[in-house]
Amino acid sequence: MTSPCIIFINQEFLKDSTSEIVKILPSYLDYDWNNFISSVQVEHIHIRSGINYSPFSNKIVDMLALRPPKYNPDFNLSFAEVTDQHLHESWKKYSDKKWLILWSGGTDSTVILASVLKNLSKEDLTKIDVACNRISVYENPQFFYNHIVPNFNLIDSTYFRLNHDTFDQYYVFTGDMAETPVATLGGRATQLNIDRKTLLADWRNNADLVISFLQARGKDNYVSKRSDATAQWFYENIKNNINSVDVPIETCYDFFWWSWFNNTWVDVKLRSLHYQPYQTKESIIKYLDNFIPWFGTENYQHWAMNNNKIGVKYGDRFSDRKLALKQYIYDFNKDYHYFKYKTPLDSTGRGTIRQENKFFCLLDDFTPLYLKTNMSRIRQLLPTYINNNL
Amino acid sequence: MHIINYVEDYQNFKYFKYEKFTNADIDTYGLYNPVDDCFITITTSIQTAFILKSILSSRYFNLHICRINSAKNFSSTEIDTLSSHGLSLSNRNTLDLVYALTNPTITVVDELCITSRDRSVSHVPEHQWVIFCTYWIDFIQNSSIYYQTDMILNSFLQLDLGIASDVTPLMQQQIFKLLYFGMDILETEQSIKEILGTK
Repeated sequence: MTSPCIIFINQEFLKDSTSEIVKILPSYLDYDWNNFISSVQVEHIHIRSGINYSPFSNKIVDMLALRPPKYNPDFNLSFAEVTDQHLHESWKKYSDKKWLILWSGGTDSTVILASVLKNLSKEDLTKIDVACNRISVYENPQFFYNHIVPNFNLIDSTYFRLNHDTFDQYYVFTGDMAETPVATLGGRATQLNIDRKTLLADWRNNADLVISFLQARGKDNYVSKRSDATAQWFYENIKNNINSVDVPIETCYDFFWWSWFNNTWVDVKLRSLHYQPYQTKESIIKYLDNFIPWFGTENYQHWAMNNNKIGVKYGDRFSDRKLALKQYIYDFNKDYHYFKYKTPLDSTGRGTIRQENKFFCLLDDFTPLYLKTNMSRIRQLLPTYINNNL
Repeated sequence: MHIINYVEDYQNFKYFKYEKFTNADIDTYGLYNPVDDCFITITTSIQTAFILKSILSSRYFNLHICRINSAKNFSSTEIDTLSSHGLSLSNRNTLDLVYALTNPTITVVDELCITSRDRSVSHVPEHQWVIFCTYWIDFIQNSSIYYQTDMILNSFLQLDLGIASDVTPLMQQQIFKLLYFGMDILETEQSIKEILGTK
């Protein structure tokens, strides 16, 4: 019997420079921890493809089949075709339980509902419930009153928890992964309102420009920043990673997209776990089997790799950041104002869970370990999680 | 700075009321729409600005209340009811675009500048809707001298008692709802008149 090993750590814990775990990490490996941890302040890093420049093993990528598919330049399905096909396949695959769609009012989860309404019968809709709160309605009132109220049973998500009972009753669908394969830019870069000329510039010839945006320059009030040295470090690592993969990454847009697409997928896949306190091995396995990020499919990834184009994924206005998704919704409901003016807002659906009640890491049988109660075990197992390829 | 006006687009619009904003000592607010990079309206009433921001969030989602009389070029800029769509603010990069719906911050404008939006695209129908909403919001606010006090106090007292006004709280709610969901001025106007019993 092989001994257990860590396969994932919640990098949220690395943001606290005073925590014991951050203090002991440098003792495990001669690595540039300062720059890594500073970068994690802005986006969590679990490399899916190419050179793994993070200090941690990416074994979880294979365990959960989270690697991106091999780039296929002949992939020619449109976003609408991918979405409709996905809906029909999912409806067959996940047919033994009701569906619960978590609707935030934002573009990502509205695409799921639009595809359901477009492709399923009225009778099928009785097998789907929708969870949302008041803010969801404020984000998209026309869709709520015109399409959700008349068609679905509603659940108030305000105090909703993803637990055993929920997963016994439902497959739970979220708009997760839309930000990663589909959004115009990587995470915080989306908020920087970068102009078209910059987005279309060749990233290889504009290192200073890219580095300045990796510093999240241009915003002072809420975007986390990297230092000059950290941004430089991050740029060099992403550059080496890009050079090790066979995906066309030419423009600054492509660069930011790839960094987000390749680095944050694992974190997004598991992040909803962190909004439920005191997870157990059983609850985590249930989550993995029943919690379904809508956009986490191979075809959406193929589409994403082939459509980093202006007018498809993004346009000139900052409200055009998820253009393909908005176009899909517009084709369904013809809501001109939502299409033109809807901008990304921070999700409101997640509750606040105290850090100490979140697990720090997962073992390869999905047992969670907590800093408060499992520190000695974590210290013992952490070396197995260190990336030995560095 | 001269902003192009299109008076002819508004002269037959009955809700239109021309107003100039010249006195920098009077607090004046612009409702800024970052997607079009312009103010969708200008008002001297902070209360109207806040209600408009919420009511119009069903269309624009991302609006910011900005105090424009703080701009160093306020007095030298021709600002009137028609020019708002041609104006932007120099410090727009400081706006919190992610929490626009919930952020109550009033942005203090450093300097007014010309919008970057394509001004060949007509904003008249959209602007007319904003003017229409403003008219009815002001109508409701002016329907009772107790409007503001009552709005706050009775939100938690929930008194099952009346208040002397031509527009009852129920009528106010119904009108705000029509403005929130409405798309067509004539249809919405008709519905409002039915509520008020003035058709």
